[in-house]
Amino acid sequence: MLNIRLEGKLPIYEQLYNGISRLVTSGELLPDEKLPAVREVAKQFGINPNTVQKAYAQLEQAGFIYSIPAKGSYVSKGSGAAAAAKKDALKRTEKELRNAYAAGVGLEEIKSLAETVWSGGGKGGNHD
Amino acid sequence: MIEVRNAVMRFDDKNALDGITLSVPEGCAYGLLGSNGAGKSTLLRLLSGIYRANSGEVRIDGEEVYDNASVKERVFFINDETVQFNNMTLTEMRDYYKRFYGSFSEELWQKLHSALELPLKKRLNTFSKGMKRQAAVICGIACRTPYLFLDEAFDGLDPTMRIIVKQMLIDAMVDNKLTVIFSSHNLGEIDEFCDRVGLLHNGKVVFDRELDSVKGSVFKIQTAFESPVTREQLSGVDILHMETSGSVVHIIARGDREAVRAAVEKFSPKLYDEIPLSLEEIFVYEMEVLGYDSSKLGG
Repeated sequence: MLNIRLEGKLPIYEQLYNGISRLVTSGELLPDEKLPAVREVAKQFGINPNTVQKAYAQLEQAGFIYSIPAKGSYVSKGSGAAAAAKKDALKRTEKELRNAYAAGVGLEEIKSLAETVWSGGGKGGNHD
Repeated sequence: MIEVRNAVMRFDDKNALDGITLSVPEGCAYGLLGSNGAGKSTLLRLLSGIYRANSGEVRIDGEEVYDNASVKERVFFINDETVQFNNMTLTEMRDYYKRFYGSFSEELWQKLHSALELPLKKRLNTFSKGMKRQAAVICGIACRTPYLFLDEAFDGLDPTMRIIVKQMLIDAMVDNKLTVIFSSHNLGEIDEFCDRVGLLHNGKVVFDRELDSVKGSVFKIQTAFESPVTREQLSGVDILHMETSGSVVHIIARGDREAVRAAVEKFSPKLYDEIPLSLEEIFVYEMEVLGYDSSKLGG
């Protein structure tokens, strides 16, 4: 069973992709751990097996998982998954940066925010 | 592979199907949408070889369906009409299909039957509507045909049964590469389960597309500009709908997200948010563009 919830308006394979990549990044799924079979995931969520296949293929392409023919899909070893997570995070950050830019946030403000977060070891930078 | 080309089906002087063209690739779960009388059931009957098209082509795996025993053996059609089985018991119904379909699996039938609670020895005319549906569904899946058509088959099932039947279909899709066509009024169900969707209206195909491309291709943008920007100024953006409330502008656009974003950003918006649309919303906007009154569709 995958500990994720499918909801919202994004295409289902995208929701699956986001959910599983998060499980990998957070360490809830461990390196070399076997992912549930396409059939099981399809049944768990009542969705089309082709959709699950598509999400798995994209996760593999991004480097989060690898597959062994006739055996199944597994979580990539630390480095592979970490690299994929990094790439994903950069992509999301870029999108947010564009929003910040559009809202009139200055480069210096972003830099100082980043410095606060980095110097706090991933914490700090409260903009609630 | 299912291929329908310019199919016309006439009843009296009305065209129930008015030149339909669509294709369903192997292993696909295809959702057929449309209001009552749009032609969904007629199309499924053509595909099952029950009707013969007045003109056009209806092919499965390259062969014309009508009057073709070898194609009919690859197709199972689950519909509302179980009248012919009224005087049979479920066991007799099973044996009937077993004789007709060489690929019938007794073992699978037993397995499916054990998941439900259908009496074996009572006549089908004592069954409720939902029970008749279930009987037809387990027979259909046990016949292990590569093509399965369900005419609003989910609509008569309660939520628990829907889950069980869906799981049966998922198994069949994984094990046999089943190609399945559902006609339905329920967009949510189609959204979850289909990878391709076709919308019929007045005997015509309004559209026939990959569900993911439908969902990804139309989106809503919430934006705000310093000074008003008109629809015409946003040239190159395929705008389906645009409305302004206060300083906020809502745009329903179609096409590549990045290109649309770039076009809007030329006007230095103070705000830019992309909001995904539900399948239902997309249908409403797409239909408006085609000049259909969306209030007469769906449901």
